[in-house]
Amino acid sequence: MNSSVINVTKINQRVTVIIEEMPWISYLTLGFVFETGSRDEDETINGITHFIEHMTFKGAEGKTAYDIARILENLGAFVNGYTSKEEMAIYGSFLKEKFSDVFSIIISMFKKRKYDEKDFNLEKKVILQEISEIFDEPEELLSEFFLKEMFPQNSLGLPVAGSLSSIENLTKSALETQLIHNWSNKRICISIAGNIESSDALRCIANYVDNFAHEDYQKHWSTPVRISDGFIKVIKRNDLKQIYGIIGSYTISFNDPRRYVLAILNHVVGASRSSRLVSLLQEEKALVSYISSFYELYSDIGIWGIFFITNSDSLGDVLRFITEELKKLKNFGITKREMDKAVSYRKGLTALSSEDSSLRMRHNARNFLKMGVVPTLKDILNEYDKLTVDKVNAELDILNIDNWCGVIMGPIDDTQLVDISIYKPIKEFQFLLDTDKVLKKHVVSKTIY
Amino acid sequence: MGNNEIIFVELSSKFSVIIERMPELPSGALVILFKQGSRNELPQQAGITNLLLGLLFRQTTKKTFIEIQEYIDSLGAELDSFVAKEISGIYSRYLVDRFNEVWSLTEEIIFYPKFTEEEFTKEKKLAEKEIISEEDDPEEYLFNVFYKNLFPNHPLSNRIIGDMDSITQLVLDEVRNYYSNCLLYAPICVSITGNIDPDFVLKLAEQMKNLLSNLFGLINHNDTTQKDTPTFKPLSNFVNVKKKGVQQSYTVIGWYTCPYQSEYYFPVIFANTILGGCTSSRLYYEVREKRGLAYSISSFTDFYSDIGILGVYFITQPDLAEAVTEIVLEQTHKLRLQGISKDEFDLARNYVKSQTLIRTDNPLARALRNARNKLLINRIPTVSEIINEIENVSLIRVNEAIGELSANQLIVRVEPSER
Repeated sequence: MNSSVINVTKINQRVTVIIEEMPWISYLTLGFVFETGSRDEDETINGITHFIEHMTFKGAEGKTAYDIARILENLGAFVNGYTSKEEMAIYGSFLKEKFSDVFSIIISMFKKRKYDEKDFNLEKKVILQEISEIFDEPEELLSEFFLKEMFPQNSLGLPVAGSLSSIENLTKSALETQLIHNWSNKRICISIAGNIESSDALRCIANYVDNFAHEDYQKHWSTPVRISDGFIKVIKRNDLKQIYGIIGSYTISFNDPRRYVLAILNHVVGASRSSRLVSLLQEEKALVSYISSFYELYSDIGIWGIFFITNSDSLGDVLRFITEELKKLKNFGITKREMDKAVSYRKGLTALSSEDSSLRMRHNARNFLKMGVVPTLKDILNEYDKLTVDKVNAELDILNIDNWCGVIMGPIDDTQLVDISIYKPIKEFQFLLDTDKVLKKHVVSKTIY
Repeated sequence: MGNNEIIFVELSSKFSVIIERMPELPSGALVILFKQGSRNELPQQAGITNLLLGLLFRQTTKKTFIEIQEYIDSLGAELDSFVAKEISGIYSRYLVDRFNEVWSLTEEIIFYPKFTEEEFTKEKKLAEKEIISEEDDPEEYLFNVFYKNLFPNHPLSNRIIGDMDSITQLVLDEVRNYYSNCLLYAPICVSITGNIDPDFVLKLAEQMKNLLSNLFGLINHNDTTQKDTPTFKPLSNFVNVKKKGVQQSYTVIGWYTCPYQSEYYFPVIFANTILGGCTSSRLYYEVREKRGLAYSISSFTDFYSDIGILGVYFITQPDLAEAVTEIVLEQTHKLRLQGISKDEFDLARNYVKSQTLIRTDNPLARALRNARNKLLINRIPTVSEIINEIENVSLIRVNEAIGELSANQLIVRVEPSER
């Protein structure tokens, strides 16, 4: 198996270059990953990081957005961005001959610190539409609700793209101030994975070192307070044909060494077709059209959960089976057999994904920013080999099963609410809103043309 | 990645094998592709291919559903099926040292299924759920309406998962019949990428071919079936669907273009790149960059054996849909009158070339492409041959291809019922 070498070069206190050479593919992925995200925001400026990501494409010294797009695409590069709770990145995939060209163009995009009023207002319209699209995606919408309820009063619960009102109210000067702050005070990881020689890449990057100021970086995230008793909140929407639900709890943070245990437990519970929940609820009983477990780990906390799509008739049964399965897991743990297949699967998947340069680019940057180290494929496989079923079962507490919370959305009637409350007393009936109230509250139906 | 040699052997008129080594890679891919998809279904059995492929994974004569899935997990592999309009197949990705196990399991799933009423009923229930779930997804819903109107009363408009009526009426015997008389009767291509000894693979493939003939008596394919080439009537409709609960407006606009196998294939892809296929495209610029009218706007192509589609898809606030539609129509009209410029042509060539290399630089994408090319165009170009084809496209050809687009377009819009 190819186990590549990962080269970590510190440029200064803030900026680090990570290069994973993958000579067996024909291209590479370059990413500038900033340690900043929607977690750095409060409600009034919610969405500003994501807005900055958009504005990064608005041109460079003497060049318009259109010029930049043309230059990059003429180089055969597809350059894009993403923003999450804790990261903002600009990245692209292209052939290695184009490395220095693409690198210098992205740097020139970052250098732009003042935006045109017109560009700013146009992009605001675009982002308002981007946010509005989420209201037609039940899965996305529910995930936002879930996070909001899990992290009340904390910036982790804020949506990455912001809300319609926060974006409406955002000013150009607030954006420019934040931009300068991000560029000079946040850690940056230049993550490269693919067909390139480290020495070539570093030589090219050396020409731009002056652009990376030395200022100290800051991180001021406040760790969310965990809600002590679980909840189920219901959103009534009669326009939907199906019922969407998430049930989950808090778990470990990203840098917790037990994340390999979490990966195994997650796999056994609901992350594969052979998992307990998928095989029982989807394949055996056909009660759900979709079910899957997931986890999302942040610097200081994590959440894990089960996402499902079902219909009115089956909701009660689905909740019953899920709670039964969770109880079973808590009391008896997983079996040796389940453990073995989960380990083989995770190892296989990890090895297969090691051929994907854009995944490697992201993983390496994230590992570095959150843990300070970048494990190689071999390191990760070793971690899985060290696990035993006893070790995994000794850590079941990381799932906080007794304290699960839930959000459910869809055509739910009052008799079903009784059903639901069997599994968790519904404390907050005031959250029982109909479609119009939920959506109108968030969607400002104002003409922006 | 380097230009690997492609080994291609036709073991019979219907059964072929393609091997592309890719020796640098730790992983490999296996694809068994059938020239049978949703367009080959009768209207009353729409969705049968998809249901059958799901059923194959439910039980074999040796393994239950859960045993199959556990075995896949224990191999650390991905193994699943898919159905498209003209092809369907079973595909897998694995570390090459697991090739033997993956091959045997694939063979077992295809040739030794156990069809039981119980599993059939479950699969049907899941299919019904999937059909309902599309109702909550405005994009899926839009494209269903689009294809229904683009190919009216033609099997190309069949939904891959079928519709409620067809799925409810299906009985197991029909599926069993379809399995041996349609799926296994159709041309089959076994496509492998990865570091595997070709002679070894050819021996296995020979055995698979013999299995096919011993179990089903099928070695050759007589293509006597009537070709269902649609009569594509001029498009001039506007279909507007009001949908409860939807907040945004979803629009797709489509034109007919050349089929998969055509000298205009790459020229159309160039035209698509310039119209709305990248961030420096005309529509991205006019609609998003210059006017901020939409977040999602792009153009796309979709090719079949006898026709193709060039389309534009966008999501807007309901009151902006009309304005964006006008811009799209104006831009395509301009494209038709003036064609693309030399600068745009150069950009399209660079972009398409580089993205083609990047997109097919993984063993599964490569294995799928090889098999699809064999079954749909009966030719398996190597990567460098494909790059050559892209380089040989001329500006004149691109503008000719644009001229060949259907004169009229179909516009379909899904929007909120209350405004």
